[in-house]
Amino acid sequence: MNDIAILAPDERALRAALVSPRFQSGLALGRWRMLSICWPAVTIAVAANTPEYRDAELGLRFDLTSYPHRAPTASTWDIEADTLLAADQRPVGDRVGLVFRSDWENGRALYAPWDRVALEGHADWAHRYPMHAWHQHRDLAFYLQNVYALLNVDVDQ
Amino acid sequence: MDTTRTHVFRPATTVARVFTWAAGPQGFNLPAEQRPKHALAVAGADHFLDAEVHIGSLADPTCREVQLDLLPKERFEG
Repeated sequence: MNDIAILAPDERALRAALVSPRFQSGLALGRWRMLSICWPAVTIAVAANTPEYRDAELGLRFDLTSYPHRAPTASTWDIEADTLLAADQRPVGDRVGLVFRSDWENGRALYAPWDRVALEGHADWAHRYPMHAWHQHRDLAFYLQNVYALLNVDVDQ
Repeated sequence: MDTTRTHVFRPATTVARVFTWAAGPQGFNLPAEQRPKHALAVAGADHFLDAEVHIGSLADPTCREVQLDLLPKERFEG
């Protein structure tokens, strides 16, 4: 009998998202780079250029279980140490610092409506923040683009 | 109160350049510190536009017009 490998729907959807024009455009523009896939964990580095993060990168370790029907969730990741990023190394600032806060859920997710943990913990956020809230027709590039915009103060748009 | 600005752009103009115009003195003249806190979206859309999108790709092909909203980026609280 032959071995049969069947890709789960969520991983299959993610693999499709990785070859989408928007994701590939972000790669080509140096906005993010893929580090690893060990399903359902995916690690991606996002370029950052803020007063505190000059020409730097911020690691994100995603859990993409049930993607895209449930939102991705990501931990701010120390790429070199392969662990959660320490609280004192996280991006700071009014809007930025709130998203990367470490005093909520032990810093295991981003405090933003595109993140599963935050969205499922705030029943009203999908209505309050429709421009940023995840729904099943979003893709991983949407999450990454929002993070990139936060971490690059010189981005006009 | 006049809440609309219009301008003619070439189709290859990027959203980033339209934003610079919209937030600048020819547009809504936002204070410098407010400009990074705003972004453009197609009117009625549920997402902001990426900076590198060409404005021509958004326009109605018959009338070659597009209506955009200049919106504040939100601070998530709750």
